[in-house]
Amino acid sequence: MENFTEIIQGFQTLFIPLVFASCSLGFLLGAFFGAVPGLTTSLALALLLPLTYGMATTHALVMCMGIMMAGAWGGSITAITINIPGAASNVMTAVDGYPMMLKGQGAKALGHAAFASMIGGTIGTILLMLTAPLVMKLAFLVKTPGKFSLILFSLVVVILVERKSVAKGAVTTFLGIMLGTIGIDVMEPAARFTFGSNFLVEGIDFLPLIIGTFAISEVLIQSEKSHSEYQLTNQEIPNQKIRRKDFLPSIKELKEIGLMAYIKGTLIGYLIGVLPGAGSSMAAFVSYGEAVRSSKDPDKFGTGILKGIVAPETSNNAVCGGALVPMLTFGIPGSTPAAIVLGVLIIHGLQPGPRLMTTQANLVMSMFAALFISASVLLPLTLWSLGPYFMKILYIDRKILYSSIALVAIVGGYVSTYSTFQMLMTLVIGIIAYILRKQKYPTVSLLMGFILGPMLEEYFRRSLYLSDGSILIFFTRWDSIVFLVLTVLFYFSFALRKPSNTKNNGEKST
Amino acid sequence: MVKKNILKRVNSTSLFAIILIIVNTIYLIDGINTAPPMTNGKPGITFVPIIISTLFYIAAIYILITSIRKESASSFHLSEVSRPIAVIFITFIYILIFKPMGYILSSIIYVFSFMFLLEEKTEFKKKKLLNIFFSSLIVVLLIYLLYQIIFKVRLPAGGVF
Repeated sequence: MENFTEIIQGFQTLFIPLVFASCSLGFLLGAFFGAVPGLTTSLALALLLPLTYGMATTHALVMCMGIMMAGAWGGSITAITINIPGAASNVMTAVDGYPMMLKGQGAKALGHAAFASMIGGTIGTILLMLTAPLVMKLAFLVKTPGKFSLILFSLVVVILVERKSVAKGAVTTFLGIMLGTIGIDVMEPAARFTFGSNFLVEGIDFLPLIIGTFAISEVLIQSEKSHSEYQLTNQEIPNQKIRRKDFLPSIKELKEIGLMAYIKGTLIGYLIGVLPGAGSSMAAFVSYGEAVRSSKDPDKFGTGILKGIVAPETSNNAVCGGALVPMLTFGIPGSTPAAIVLGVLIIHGLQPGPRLMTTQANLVMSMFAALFISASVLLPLTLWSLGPYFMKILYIDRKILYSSIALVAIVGGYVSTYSTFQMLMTLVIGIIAYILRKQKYPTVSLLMGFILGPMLEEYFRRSLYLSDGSILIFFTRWDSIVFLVLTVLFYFSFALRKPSNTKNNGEKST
Repeated sequence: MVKKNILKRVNSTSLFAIILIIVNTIYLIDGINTAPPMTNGKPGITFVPIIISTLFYIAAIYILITSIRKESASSFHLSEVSRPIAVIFITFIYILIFKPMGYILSSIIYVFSFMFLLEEKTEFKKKKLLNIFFSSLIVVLLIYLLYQIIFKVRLPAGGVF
């Protein structure tokens, strides 16, 4: 009952005109960044991060929620219309969406993608509202050794979800941890790994790391193509009229898809969202794979069927809710956008953890309300009002777009400390992330290592101080044992299983 | 021909793995020189970093060995990265002139150079350059409006403005 009152208060806060305007603006930004190939939700959040210094915490966080939800859906627009997914999480949507577009059913495919995203996002948020308070209560029971084992479990998950190259995932995770060790030690007032530089004593700031990893590296990747090279791809856009009335899914089509398809996709997305670093693209792949596996006609997938759109779109939006559970309760982000939202919390002096729900109940609930309204109201409204004009996004001047991103990013590096050293740091991290991406190293694990590394070290050392240096403390406390067992189980159930062919199929199709 | 190909391919998976191993070695040496990993039987400030560095070696050496074994190790061509290198260069110059010249002037130069780089070289005419200049001006002023006016973030005025 108490939670219900808090949820209502969260909605009341959201409906304050300026707060709601922030959420709506965030949603439009997220839809834009999601829809344009090359721009991602993480990039939108990274660019927003320096601006949040001048914003109220609630405004900043509801804006982030709008971006998260819209970004997960926005990529489906270009995935369906031109077979170029706006984000990796929409790769599977293109597999059946684009064939529908070629059959002249583009508007129908867009409508079903939006409807599935709406269902996934809404149910995912309801699950978040129901489970987050329970998880927060359970989180109080996890003590220091248990927290170490939980962080260890999270890092193992972050590394293992890089199915294509676990070793590369490990390298970037360790690199992230190493970057996090630069500066003052987590427990003692001693500087380390400063390499003789006074600038490094304070350590690497969160802001340059995020902006460098997601914005600068993207600008460098995009600068590989000239303006005219990019324009060539736009010539391949099918000339098809998108009408509003075709967006509405019919009862017959919904019956054909079945309620279970929506529920299954949502649950898969939500549960994968809870896993640290797994993210929405993994959720979409797994959900699509499961839809194919459980189908009576698996051969029809890839030819342009509605179930092939519903599976990935429900799950990638349900991730938004799931990813916030570990982030708010333990400070462990479930996805890259959640990791950047964690940065917003830190910038505003808030410490994620089980106490956050009691000390900042209204703020947390307004975040949940923003996710809910974004999925259930803003998403269908945006499709209805702007849907026929979405194709225009593709004709945007690339020079203006990327020069604006580069400027916001570099100046964003400056605003955290008003120092050009942080701007330089943003550029250096951007170059490192660019090289890593060119070498096919995952950059998400770099960020996860940077966030989780200091926590891992602190809990490890605190535990050993408590036990006078005996590592047995991790094997004798039940909270620690639970997460160590989970780590072993996850390793055997996930790492030793061969990756399914679904991913490959998806990549071929796009 | 073979020599030309080798020259063109300045990087590869194995070369990058070697660079990572060198960076890790520098990190490890700095850690060892800073403080002992254990003090009074308890982990010190370099204990966890040394463990992480050791694990880093294992992963990087594994990548190195597998990339040498594989015939088609990933690589990138120098021509492919020429424009990104130019972007890095102009960004570096921008950082240097940002405070002395102030946000507006330095940013106009930066955005103009950035747009110039993304444009096809064959297309440059006076009208095109003017177009790029006015686009840069609008972008710079809009972002100034966003940071300085809306979000009250103080940007350097420099000696000119």
